[in-house]
Amino acid sequence: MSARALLLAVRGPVMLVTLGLLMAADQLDRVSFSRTWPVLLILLGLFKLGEHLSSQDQTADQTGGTGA
Amino acid sequence: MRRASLVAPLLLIGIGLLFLARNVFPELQLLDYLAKYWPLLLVIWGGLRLLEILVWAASSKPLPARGLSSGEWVLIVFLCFVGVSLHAVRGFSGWLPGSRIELGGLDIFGESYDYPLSAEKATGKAPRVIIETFRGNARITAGDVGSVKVTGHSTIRSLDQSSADRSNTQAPLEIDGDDNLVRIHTWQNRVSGNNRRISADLDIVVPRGASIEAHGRSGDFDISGVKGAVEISSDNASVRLEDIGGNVSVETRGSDILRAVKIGGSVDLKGRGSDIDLQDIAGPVTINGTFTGNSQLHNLTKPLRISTGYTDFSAEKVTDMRVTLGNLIGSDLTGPIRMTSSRSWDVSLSNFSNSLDINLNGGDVDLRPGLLPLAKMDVHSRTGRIQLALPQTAKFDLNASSSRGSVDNEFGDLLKLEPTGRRGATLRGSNGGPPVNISTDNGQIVVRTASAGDASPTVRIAPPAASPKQIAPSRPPQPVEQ
Repeated sequence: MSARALLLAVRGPVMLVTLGLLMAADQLDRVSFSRTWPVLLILLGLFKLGEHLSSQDQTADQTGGTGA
Repeated sequence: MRRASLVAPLLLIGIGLLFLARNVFPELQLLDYLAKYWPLLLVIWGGLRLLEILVWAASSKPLPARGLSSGEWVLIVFLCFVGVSLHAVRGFSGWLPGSRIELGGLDIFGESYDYPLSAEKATGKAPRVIIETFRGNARITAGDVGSVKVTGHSTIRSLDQSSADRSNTQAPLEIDGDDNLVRIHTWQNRVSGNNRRISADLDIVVPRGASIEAHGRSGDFDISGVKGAVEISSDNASVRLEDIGGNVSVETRGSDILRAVKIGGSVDLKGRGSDIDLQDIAGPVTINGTFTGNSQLHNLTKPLRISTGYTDFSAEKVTDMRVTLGNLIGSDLTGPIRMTSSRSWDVSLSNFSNSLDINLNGGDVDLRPGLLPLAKMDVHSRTGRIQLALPQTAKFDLNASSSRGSVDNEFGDLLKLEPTGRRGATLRGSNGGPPVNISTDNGQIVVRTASAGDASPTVRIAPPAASPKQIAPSRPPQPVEQ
């Protein structure tokens, strides 16, 4: 099982938990969601970055494997 | 084959349990809890899913390509919508426009608890009564009494009786002050959390000589019989005033109607709103702001000044006038009358005197001066038809011109028509009266003889149904000496 598959699988649930927390913070009058929503974008970006890096690692591993 | 997730069945069981609980314990305010804690559903959902995936990963089972399917995301978005709307409707939220919904529309959600209010304080004969900012309605009447007496009830919306009781003790009705100055507090601002959840209906009896200063959030003011001044400021209020001896000043950011009948002093309206209804005002009237509904002005014996962002109107005396958006009809007005606007207005004036000065960006103007001697007139509409009905015996020095349009003479041989430019015309004629200048850049001008029908005022306003006594009869049109 690759790190990439794990990242892909946890992305949705992690985003969902974050969304829930931001909404909760809003509803309990802590921080307004209208101010915190970019966190979701950043998180999504981080996931994409992670996927990109892990897929690069994978390709490197694979090319390394065939070359050996 | 794709393995089914445990989360969906767990969520179903959870929701089933919630509704079962509601059926078993009907007093449970399920909607309130949902409105407040629905984001936790998202957290639990995501958390369970995450846990599941981590367990699968740890036990080296194959992982799903995506943690959440598109169907689930659709459901989540739907849940967010429902949660946010519920939250807004329950009045917890601060950033959604939905939270401005008034209490009246929320009867389906939550419960209201009523508490009686009562307080009294002895005062002098002419105290100044200040009502501190509150949400709700106030009815203020004057009586031959030596005290300020408040009765009524406060309505508290809450999850349960005990928190409503707590809010009620936090917001007691209090009257303090001395013989000359009395303050009425509802202390609604002390109630923790969102103060949308509390409102009061107050019935206040004050000494006849009292003057009133009231601050409101949202709610109606109904004041009658006081001899002193009345000053109201509110975010959103309908105001009805009757038989007030002093000056009236109302400032509101929104109102369905501002109504003042039989006012001894001046009337000053500011802000935004819809309808205005003024009748029998002894002092000057100023209206400053944007009022988009129907305005009726009846028997104003002192100068009237109206100023919106785009239009200014003034007259020294108004017997009947009705203003709706883009349409002004007036009769029996005493000048100098002035109206300038960067907007388009259809104006119809009859029986006016002294002088008339109109400058509009557009619109049709219908003038029936009626009274003699004729008013001095200077009327310009950039685009529109101007019609002037002159009495047969009137003296005037007329100059009516259209730069692009016809000028029709239906008055008689006294007037001479001459072409102006390529497409325009000018109608001139004088028999030694005041100057009457009428012009339009683009439109028709008609000058005709006034007929018997023109003399009758175009506006007739029924006396208010609410007023028990007949108001003073409108004065007949009086010629004004120039």
